[in-house]
Amino acid sequence: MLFHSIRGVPAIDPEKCMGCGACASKCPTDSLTLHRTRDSILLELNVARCIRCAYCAEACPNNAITIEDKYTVIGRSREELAIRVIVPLARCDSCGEPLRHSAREVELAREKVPDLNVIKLCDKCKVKRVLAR
Amino acid sequence: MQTQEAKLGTVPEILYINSGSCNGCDIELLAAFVELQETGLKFNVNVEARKPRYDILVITGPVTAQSFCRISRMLREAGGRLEVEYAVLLGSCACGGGIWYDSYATLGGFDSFLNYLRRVEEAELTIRKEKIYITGCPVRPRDVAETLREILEKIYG
Repeated sequence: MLFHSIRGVPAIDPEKCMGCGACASKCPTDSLTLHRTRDSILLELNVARCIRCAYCAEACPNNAITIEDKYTVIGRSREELAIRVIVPLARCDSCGEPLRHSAREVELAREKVPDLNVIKLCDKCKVKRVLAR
Repeated sequence: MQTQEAKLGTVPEILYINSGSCNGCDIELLAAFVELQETGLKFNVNVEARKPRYDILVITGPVTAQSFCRISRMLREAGGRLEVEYAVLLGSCACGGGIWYDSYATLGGFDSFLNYLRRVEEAELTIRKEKIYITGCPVRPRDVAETLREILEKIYG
């Protein structure tokens, strides 16, 4: 149990995280880093470097990062102190290639703008559709 | 505790190095030492390496360039080769460089310091058993005291 004025370690909810990278850009020590692979986004939290400033929780647009009630983390290696979250990328509706945005980002955009139906197309398919008109 | 000391022959030696920390972790370490004294486990704390072997190395700070010169000089004066059984890294700075992980004036934590020391081959610092990372900015005295107590109990057997 911590005092309310003491901030603890951030915890990332893998169900809510959409891989936008707002936390990684706010982190003063770069302990949160975003890596892009071909079909997913990897968000890595290096607890060994984290200074418990809670800027990541402030920046998160989807409230995926919460501050835990735990302050100290003791580990025997740096791999033990790393937390990894993998966010899958959205796939193109016509060809199945991974897009630049994550699936949850596309879902959120669809909720906000319901009549935007070309959002889940890759660049090549967009060009094809425009040329076919 | 007297019998345990007699069995061991010596008192466990702690080598404490401040490698340019802001003194936050150092103050918490003092509080942890006070808490450790209540357990009755005896230990000696050295701030300077005079022997080639110590039981526990406690290090705070991100290893600044200035402190690197001093630590390597200390290691050279201790014979160029230092062996520790356990290394306890206190705070985010020692564990991963903290907020100064890519600063021009620091080496970025104890692990990069060990790599650097190996590369320049000025002196040798070997950890025989375990390296323990205690994160936090600063660390909490109770966690430090509990970790040190566990290690001391292992040494006493």
